[in-house]
Amino acid sequence: MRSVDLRKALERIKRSIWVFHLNTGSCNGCDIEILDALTPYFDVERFGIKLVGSPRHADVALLTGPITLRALPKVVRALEAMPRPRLVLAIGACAVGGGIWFDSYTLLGGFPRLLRVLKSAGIEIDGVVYVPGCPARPEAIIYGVCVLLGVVKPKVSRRAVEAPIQLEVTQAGEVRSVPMHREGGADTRT
Amino acid sequence: MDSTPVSASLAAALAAASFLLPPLLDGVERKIRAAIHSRIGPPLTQTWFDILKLWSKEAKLPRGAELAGLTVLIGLSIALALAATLSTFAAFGLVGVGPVVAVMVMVFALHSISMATGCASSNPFATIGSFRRVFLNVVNEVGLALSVALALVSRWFIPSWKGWALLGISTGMMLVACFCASGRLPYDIHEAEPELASGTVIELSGPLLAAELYSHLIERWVLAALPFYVSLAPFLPSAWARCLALVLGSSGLWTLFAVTSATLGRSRADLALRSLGAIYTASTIAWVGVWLA
Repeated sequence: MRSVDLRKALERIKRSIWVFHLNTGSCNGCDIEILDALTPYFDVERFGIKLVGSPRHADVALLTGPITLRALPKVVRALEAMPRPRLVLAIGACAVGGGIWFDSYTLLGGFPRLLRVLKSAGIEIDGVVYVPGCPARPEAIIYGVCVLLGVVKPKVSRRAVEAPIQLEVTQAGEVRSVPMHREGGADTRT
Repeated sequence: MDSTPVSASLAAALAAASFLLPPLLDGVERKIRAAIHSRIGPPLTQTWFDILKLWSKEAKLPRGAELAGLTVLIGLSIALALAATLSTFAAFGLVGVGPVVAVMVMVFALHSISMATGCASSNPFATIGSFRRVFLNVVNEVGLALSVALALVSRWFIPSWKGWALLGISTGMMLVACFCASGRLPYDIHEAEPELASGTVIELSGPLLAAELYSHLIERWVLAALPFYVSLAPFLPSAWARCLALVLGSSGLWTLFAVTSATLGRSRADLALRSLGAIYTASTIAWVGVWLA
């Protein structure tokens, strides 16, 4: 397999952005907004953005939902199937940090935690942008893609909050998210 | 036959145009589709941007799909050879039965190798997707071969009125066959795949996908130039006129095909047998009727 010049490939992606829609257990609110962003009204094709049906063809994964543990293996496989450079746009409150499900036992709870799983599996993600909102607006999704590719500069600074949750592997080999109950409320680190 | 340096230069220029034009014409097609949707659409060079981007990406091929990757490369070689051959034949005035048959053999070889791409993949969805292509090709290739054969026979009757009428009918039939063979709506291949989540190219990525996309666009250019090569080029005296007719004619026909496909809805592949069969049968009956008149 030939080596990939990531910088050159990222430069070229700026003019041709093929996106793959990846629902990881979303309520479909953000998914409807993604479909809205892809309609002729917003005409994202003028920026070179095109929806593709296979992760093999994709440059950017439009990831929605808090990543349910049931969907986790499929999500990892889909992201692994993308050729590098692979980029992710985490869309909506759930994908950004789990939303109201951040400490549920059935979920991973947002893309930052998935990043750890991907890293442990040796899967590199070359760029991530978080688009908050419940649901995220189509304009915000398009803006997020442009920020991801460096076409425009982000208007706001990033602030990450660590939710009090940890992952554990059961004896059966399944990954579970376990809430961390501490005295004095949640452990928030900025 | 014009075996002059001018013809050789024209052949080289036409071959270069056949390599460079198809992605730009695809950009025109996307602009036309956008205009029909009341959109701005992508820039004309968008397809070139897509191909260059894919070329610089990583090529991931699943285990057991090495043969599919090989068929893509063979398909690209055939497509480039086909475009170069057609350009050379047109520039040198090689428009007889032999050269036309040679071009058609290469067209059918290109179609066969694209069908093999899906069948050779280790992904069952790619195999399922290739069934649609196989079915459409089997139905349409008969009409394409028949229309070219009828056009070649029609030339014998020219310059009588019967010859021109026969050539008109067979060329009309060839236009329909070339339109369907180009993989556009209503019998599209590539555009259908994102919705069907299956298709011959589902496992291809990076440079292999770029090669498949590029060879498909060159195939579209050849199919847009074919009616002009078979039905018009024999009656043009100079190499300049033949090359100009091929470039302008193929660009115009590509645009006409783009407008037609943008205004049509998607059809089921199994209905192609009935609708295309009716068109080709009616055209053949009309051709025989004029011949007997």
